[in-house]
Amino acid sequence: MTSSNLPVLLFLVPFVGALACAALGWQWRRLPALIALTFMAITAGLAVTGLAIVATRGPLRTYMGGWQPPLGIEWVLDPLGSIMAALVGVLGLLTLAGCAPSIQQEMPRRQSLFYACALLLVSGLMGMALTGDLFNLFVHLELASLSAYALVAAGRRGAPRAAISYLFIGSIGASLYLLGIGFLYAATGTLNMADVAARLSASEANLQLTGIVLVISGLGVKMGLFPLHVWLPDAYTLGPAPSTTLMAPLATKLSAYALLRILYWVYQVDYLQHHAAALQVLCWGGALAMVFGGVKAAVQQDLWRLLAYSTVSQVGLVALGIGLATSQSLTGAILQILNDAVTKAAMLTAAAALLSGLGIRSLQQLPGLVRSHALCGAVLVVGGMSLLGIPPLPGFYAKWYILLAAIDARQWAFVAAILLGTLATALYVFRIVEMLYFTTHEPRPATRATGSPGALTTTVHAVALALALAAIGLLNGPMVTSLIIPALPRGLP
Amino acid sequence: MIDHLLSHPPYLVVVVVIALGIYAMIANSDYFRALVGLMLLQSGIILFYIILAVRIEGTIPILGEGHAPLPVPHRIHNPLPHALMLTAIVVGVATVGVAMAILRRLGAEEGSIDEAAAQGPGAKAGGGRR
Repeated sequence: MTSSNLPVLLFLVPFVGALACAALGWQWRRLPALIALTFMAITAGLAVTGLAIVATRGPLRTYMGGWQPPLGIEWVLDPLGSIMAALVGVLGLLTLAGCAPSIQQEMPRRQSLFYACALLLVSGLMGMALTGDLFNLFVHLELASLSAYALVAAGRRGAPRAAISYLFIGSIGASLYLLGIGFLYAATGTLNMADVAARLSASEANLQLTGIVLVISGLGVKMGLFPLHVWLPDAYTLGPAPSTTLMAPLATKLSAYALLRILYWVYQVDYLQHHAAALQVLCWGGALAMVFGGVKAAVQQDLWRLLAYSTVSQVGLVALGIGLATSQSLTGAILQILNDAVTKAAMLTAAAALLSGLGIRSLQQLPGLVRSHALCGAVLVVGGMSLLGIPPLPGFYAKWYILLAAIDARQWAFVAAILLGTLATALYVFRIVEMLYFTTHEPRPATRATGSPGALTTTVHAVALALALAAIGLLNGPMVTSLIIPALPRGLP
Repeated sequence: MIDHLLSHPPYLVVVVVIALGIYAMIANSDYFRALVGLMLLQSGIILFYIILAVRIEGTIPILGEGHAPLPVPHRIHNPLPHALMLTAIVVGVATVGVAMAILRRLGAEEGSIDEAAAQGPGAKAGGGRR
């Protein structure tokens, strides 16, 4: 356990970057992208360094203002937090760099503000990953959410409406979370996660129970857990393409991580085993999300809405993994957070390349694509295969771990839900494949100039993300033993 | 829990304010009124924390010249929730600010900030809604 400034730097670098973008960005057309990507590159570098340091030398801690916990606010870069920070840093960098041409195309005069919001979102997510304080987590959750509302509202016609519903529903979620930690504070008199965990067992049972119910419902809204996901499809479809490409991979996943953190590090396994109903709710929400999200995705015509419902379905699998509460299922849940984040980043970047290069949003426009944009099509297919769970892509391992955990627990309903969800996933993935490769088509009317240099940049980043996905899959064994197993909470069956 | 609530009337106020806020958010199709509901909901939660901080027959936690020495801890109002709620108020104000900015854009785009009105003629221009 070492004291270091690294955890706070991971938050401060994108935060200062956001201020720099907003303050200087309007001077010169290319400056905002330059500033934002420089700061994001530093963040990603620091996050990966942090992952390496934590894996070899153990957690890093920062005490804000030199105050020792439990009095002061503590930031911890522990194994799980460092995985999430590296995920946010690297995916944030790749998606923003990949979408830079789309940003210039969709909002030429508002680039500096867009980048400022994007970096604020990243800094909020970093704060969520690293803070060791329950109230601090609320502040960062809201920092990330407020940036997300603004990012959605910048979109095409209809986006402000989607953004305001997202804001109302998201704020109710945040309020429930805040009320929940109020009950935890009333029970224990402290807000430091480790300290709450130590004092919780001696406190009043009713307060604990009310707290856990409110925290699960609040974070359930933020992570888009069925049936609290209603804000998600519109926000991710109507928001600008670069916003969705940045948000969809990270925002819901980090909220799921926050829930995992509070359930297993604050309430801890013992408590959860004695109050299994809380986890049951999570499991059922996840199971229904998998089936419902998959089926809704399978009937969509719009590629972006399809991917939004797919996110609902995939986050359901994360919730199921968290809810089953064995070391196997949690390994699966963490892998699934990684898998869905990288997969969605790759697929949405490819979709952004199609949108900015050819103006394609709908599945109907996909036929004939393979000739001109073969790589984008290939990325969509690789991503789809990972969502479906084809080995050796990481989606397979994530699903396998959670499926085995469900079988071990003899929860046949959840086994059935995973298989049905996979079936629905197969439906929408094969629809994409069919439209790409097996549908005859008329020669494409020249809607926009094809092969613009911007679309090429985006495509390169999409391919890089797809290769990263394949690498995670191929290196799955060593990654689970060296990164994910040390990151699991203690005391799991 | 209900008994506890009835024997501590201040918490009853919290429940009423939060319930009013949520009701206003659900029942109003006018987004602006719903926003007022959200503000009520946030105020209810702030009130909850502030009531948590109160100690019966307590005093303010100030040390220094001209003040009596502090009594035992359970006679001092807890200052921490007040500090937390300052932050929560800032977050709430920021939320309302973002919401108003979005509502302005919505009004400019659709000529109304009423959910029900815009479901009609404006909705088809809204594009991919379901």
